[in-house]
Amino acid sequence: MSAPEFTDEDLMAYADGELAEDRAAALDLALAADDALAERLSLFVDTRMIAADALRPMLDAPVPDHLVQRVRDLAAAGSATAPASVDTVVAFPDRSQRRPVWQLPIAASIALAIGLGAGLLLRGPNVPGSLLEIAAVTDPAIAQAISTLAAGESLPLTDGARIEAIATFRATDNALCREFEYDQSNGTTVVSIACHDGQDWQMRLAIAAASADETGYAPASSLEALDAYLTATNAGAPLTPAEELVALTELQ
Amino acid sequence: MPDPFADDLIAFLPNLRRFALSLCRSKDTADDLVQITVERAFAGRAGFDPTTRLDAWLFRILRNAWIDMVRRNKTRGTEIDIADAPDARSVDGEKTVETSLMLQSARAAIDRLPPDQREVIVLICVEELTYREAAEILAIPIGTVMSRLARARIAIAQVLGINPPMARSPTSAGDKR
Repeated sequence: MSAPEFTDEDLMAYADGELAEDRAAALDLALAADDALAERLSLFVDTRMIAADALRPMLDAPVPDHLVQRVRDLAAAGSATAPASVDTVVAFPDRSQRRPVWQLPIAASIALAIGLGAGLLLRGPNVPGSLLEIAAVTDPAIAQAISTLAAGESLPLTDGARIEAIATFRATDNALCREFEYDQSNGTTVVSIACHDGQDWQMRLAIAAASADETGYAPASSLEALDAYLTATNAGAPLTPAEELVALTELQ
Repeated sequence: MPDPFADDLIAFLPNLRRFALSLCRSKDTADDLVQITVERAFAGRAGFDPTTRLDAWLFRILRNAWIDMVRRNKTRGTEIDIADAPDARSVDGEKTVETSLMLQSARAAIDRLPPDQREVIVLICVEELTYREAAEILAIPIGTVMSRLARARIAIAQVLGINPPMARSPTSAGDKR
């Protein structure tokens, strides 16, 4: 049996005391045996502490008197009149309310193509080449890769290209979706989301990012667009490795 | 007559201002936001469930006020350089220069984050809310909170050089360019 794998989000949740107990117990064991894992964990422990320390001085900034006075006035006004009535409840926005993706700022340097509804069939015969040069769209090797790669795994393809599975999640229609990055040999990284409709993988989002830097990751600006998309579509939380394995097996 | 609600609110004003500043990055706008939050909190105090966290409730009111403000486009042109923002660098004179420099870099790194990432950092790492509380305040799924938070922290770590570049998972650690 191979050692369990832990994503950055697992490590972060552990650092924040939010990892599920069974998973945290497994991570406890793994940390004892794996220095590299402990080092990855320390990033999340350190950044939490540093962020808190860095912004703590802001609390020492004096609060303007008028704000304090406003609270006192409102408290006095409240006690002078009737107790707060129940019909003054603050109206919170509907939790399902989302900013549409097209209202969100998206760095101008990235090209964004969203396959709405119909989507672009990964294996479709008539792929419009005008949107983006996404080899993924026509390449059965890509479809095969995203049907099998676990999140975090990558696979070299022909011509020096590389595909990396980033995450797996369920769309609101319960379709199984993969976030993946496709590094083309020309240096362009395509950040993509494809969802399986029961027959084929359909591209739901493809962002052609500028050349990946030396880390091999897509630049942050393209991830903003990705975040915006995930938020706008109310995508589910990433599946755990075990859930992902089950979901991918069901595809076969 | 003592009013614990008012006292709690006054005690929490610095935190509200800090969160407001992280959203709008303008001192004046931040104070406007806090004032609106105070007014809405009193108007809606009957709707506050005392078994829940007052801070999370207030942050949510503040963020909704911010969204309203953005929608009305009132904030255009009010952004100022973050260097003008409330700061108390002079307060930490006791600390070593080294620590102070590192924290200044961290502050700058947080300031440079995309707004979506900055607010999760402030709510979770700084204000110590849970993922779920932050998700409710921001009206986004927990998965989105986590993904933004992880990206923000990796970005901060990279700016500070506190760790080598991270792998997203152990299996891909070896094949990063």
